[in-house]
Amino acid sequence: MRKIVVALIMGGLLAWGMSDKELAININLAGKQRMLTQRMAKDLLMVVAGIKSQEAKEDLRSSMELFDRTIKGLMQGDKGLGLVASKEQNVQEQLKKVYSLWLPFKERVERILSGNYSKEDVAYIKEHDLKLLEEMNRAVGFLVESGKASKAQKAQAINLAGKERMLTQRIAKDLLLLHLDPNSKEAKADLQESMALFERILKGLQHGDKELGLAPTQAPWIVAELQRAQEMWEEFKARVQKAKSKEDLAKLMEMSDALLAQMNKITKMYEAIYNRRKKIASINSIVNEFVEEKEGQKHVINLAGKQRMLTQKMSKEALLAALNQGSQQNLGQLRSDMELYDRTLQGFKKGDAELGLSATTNPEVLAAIQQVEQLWNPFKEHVERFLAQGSVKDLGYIVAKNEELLKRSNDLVQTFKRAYPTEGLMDESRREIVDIAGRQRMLTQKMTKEKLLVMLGVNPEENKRKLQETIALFDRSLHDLIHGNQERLLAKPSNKAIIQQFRKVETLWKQLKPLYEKDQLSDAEKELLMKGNVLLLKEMDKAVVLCESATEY
Amino acid sequence: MKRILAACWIVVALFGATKEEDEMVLVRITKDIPYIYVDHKGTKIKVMRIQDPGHLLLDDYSKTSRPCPPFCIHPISVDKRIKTIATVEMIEFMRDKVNSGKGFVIDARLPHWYELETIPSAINLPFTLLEKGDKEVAKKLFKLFGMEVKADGSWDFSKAKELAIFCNGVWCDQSPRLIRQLLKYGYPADKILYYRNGMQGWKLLGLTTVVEKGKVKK
Amino acid sequence: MGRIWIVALMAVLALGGEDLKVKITEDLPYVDVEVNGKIVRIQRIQDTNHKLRNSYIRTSRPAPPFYVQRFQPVEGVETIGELELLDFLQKKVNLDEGLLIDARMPQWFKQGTIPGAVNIPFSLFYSNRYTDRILSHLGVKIENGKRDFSNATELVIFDNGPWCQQAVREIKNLVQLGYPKEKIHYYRGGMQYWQILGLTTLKPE
Repeated sequence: MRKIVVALIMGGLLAWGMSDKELAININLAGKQRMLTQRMAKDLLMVVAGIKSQEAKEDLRSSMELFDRTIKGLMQGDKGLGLVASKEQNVQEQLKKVYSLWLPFKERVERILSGNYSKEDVAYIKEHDLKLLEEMNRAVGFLVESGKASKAQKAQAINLAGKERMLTQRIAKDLLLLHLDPNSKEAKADLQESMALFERILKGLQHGDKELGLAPTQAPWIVAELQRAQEMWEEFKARVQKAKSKEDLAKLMEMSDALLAQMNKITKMYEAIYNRRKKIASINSIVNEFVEEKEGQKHVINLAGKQRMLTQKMSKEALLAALNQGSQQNLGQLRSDMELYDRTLQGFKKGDAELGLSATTNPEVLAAIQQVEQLWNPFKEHVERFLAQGSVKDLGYIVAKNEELLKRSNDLVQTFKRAYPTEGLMDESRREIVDIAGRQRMLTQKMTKEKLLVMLGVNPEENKRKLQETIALFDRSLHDLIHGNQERLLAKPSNKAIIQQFRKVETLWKQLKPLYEKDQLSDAEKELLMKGNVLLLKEMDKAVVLCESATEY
Repeated sequence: MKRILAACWIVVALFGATKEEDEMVLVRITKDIPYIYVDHKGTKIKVMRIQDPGHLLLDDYSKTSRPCPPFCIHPISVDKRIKTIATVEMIEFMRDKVNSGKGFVIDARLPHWYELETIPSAINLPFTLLEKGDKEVAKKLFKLFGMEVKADGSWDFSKAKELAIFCNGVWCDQSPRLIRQLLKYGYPADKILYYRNGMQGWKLLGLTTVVEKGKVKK
Repeated sequence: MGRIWIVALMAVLALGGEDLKVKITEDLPYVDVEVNGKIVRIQRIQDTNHKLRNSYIRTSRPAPPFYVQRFQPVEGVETIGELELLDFLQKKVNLDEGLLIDARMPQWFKQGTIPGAVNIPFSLFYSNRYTDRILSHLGVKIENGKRDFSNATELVIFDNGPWCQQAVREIKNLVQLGYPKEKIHYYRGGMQYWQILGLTTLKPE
């Protein structure tokens, strides 16, 4: 299967109406037309000179048909060739110009093919093939320009390697012209010029040529093919010097075709490197976009998880403030917790650049946010009034409603998880871990709150029971996080940093747990507990961050 | 871990592990296979993976650069007719074929390598045996593998065992050479499996190996 | 002059290859691949005492979730080894006729990959928003929401190794989307076997 080839000089091609690939096809085929003009002239001269005339005729016919189809395709589009009509005016005008040159040219080619032709027909072709080449070359230029061509050296290598194809045919044609008219100065000059140019470009491709904008080729597989071309070229040159008979000429025609095939191969290799680089750049940018979105979602889930903790922390701080007769420190904490909760909730809905949140459009998420808001708005009012007046009634509301708020906040976490599905067992496992570890943060605050309620004598029996449950849940989850639990999809960590962090939490927990469980606490113990729970929360939070971000869990 | 396995398997009968014990296996071979038992020279060996998630392979099987030649990387396949397998298939082969007497695990390396450390249940068939031998050697060997010599002297492989063959790993040519010899003397290709990952692949997954006649390596 | 110089250079390079103590195979000392404008040489570490000392010598990642893959996890998708992958790099990737895909999540990819690989994380193909955009760069034609895979690019997909799920998930997703199985190959050895053989890895820029 023929591989679809490829662009000459292409920069940021997207600005144009066609896709990269479509434009690449257009430029390649338009570029190939240059070669065809010279190939047709060469074939025709072979027919006239009687050199392999049957083969030359067949080749001439297929070249003619291909040129004809391609020029029409460039103007109007051709699905089979993969061509899309250009919308650029200058391109279309130039193509029309080529077409108007082509029609009389084609007519004469057909006549020569039929065998019923005059000397004038041959002369016309000889005179006009270069004109056709020149105009086609201009059309290629416009096409390339329409793609906002970069002057990258690699692109120049593709262009010039492509040009070598044309030169092989042009040299062959010149040789035939010289054969038919050995005294033609024009043909001699043209031959010399073509050969010099071919040689220079070939050298430039290998070793670089600043004037031509070529850097030395590095890819070993292309270097090897260039060396092969160089060898073929040396042999060709030697034979040109010695060519005398028709047979010599026939051999040269063969060799020029082989050289064309070799240059075609090399052009494709340059194009491959160029296209590959473009392709990878496109893929990388799509992947980056995807990754950023995923990271954003992870962040949202983490923040939503933190909201759960805040509901418990607010209650704890309110209780502490009441216990410490309006401690400014606790009131200050309460205020900042409330503001953070409020701001994050708004951020989920409307976006918040500083928090790294973008606005949500997902209806399910919006509905869940609304559910939280229904509870949060009155809750917030009571917190604000408590901050201002310190009344027991507001504290009562906070104590009564905080668990419902916690439940709805947790519903929101679960909704986010559903809305942003993860893939892969490890991902799922990791998300479970982050969720459970995240919940531990909340539990540190919940159990402190419950301990305070017990200490304050608010529903002491019920709160004692709740406290025991919370302690047990924290205990069990910490155990599972450290040792793994297949049923809960929790993998056992093997990352040293994570293991160490969990151990740190465990050590801290071992010291605090008896205090939570003890009925009567001394003042020193109370202080230890109040400081300790904040530390436990902090260390647990560190563990969550590690679980979330470490490559190897 | 250096315990005598015989004692162990009296407690836990063949394939009869309790459900709790299955669940305790944190590093399983596959979802359905936490471990298997095989016989190695008369000793029951429990084949499972090392259970410490932090364990590292530090011995010579973590070497990257044995000189090539001769220790060159080998293609994924020895011969078009021979199926290549990986560790899961090897374990299943041991469970389904070796344990029921339908197949052998073959260690193609030289005897001192085999004695040093090998895969449980493997028997040693050094690649040199057939390379240095002749049709008579092959005949004797194949008869051990269940090949029958018919009245007219022709070889009948219909009851021949399946063979899963390995050596040191992807950079080792001993099992490919043995397989070529087996094919040369007519052993049926559909009864030969190539475990390309070999000892290295086995050890990279922390699977049980045996040393010194049936003792589990620590 | 210039030509002589390049011939001399080639001779030196060839000699360099002959000199290697640890080749890939007897006839293949190294493989060159183009990465972002530079030629990267893939060869093996030459210190014959070198041992791999990173997390790829971990034997016992917890399973679940790190179950060991079967030899051929997706029927119809061929499993290949290192030599086949290197051949693919030379004959397909360098000529833009094939793509080597690292299916792992980017944080893994960034720590080092096989030279010439492009990172397409397996989880991307779960997302409709990205799937077709990537497929259009893999030779898949998309017209009116219909996917035409007749010119789909040949792929080799790998991940961390036999105990990793990521490549297999990517392959399963691609097959489900309609990607022709015969155009996908699975390098099961992945980063683990690549490195245990001392082959060159590359940190992407």
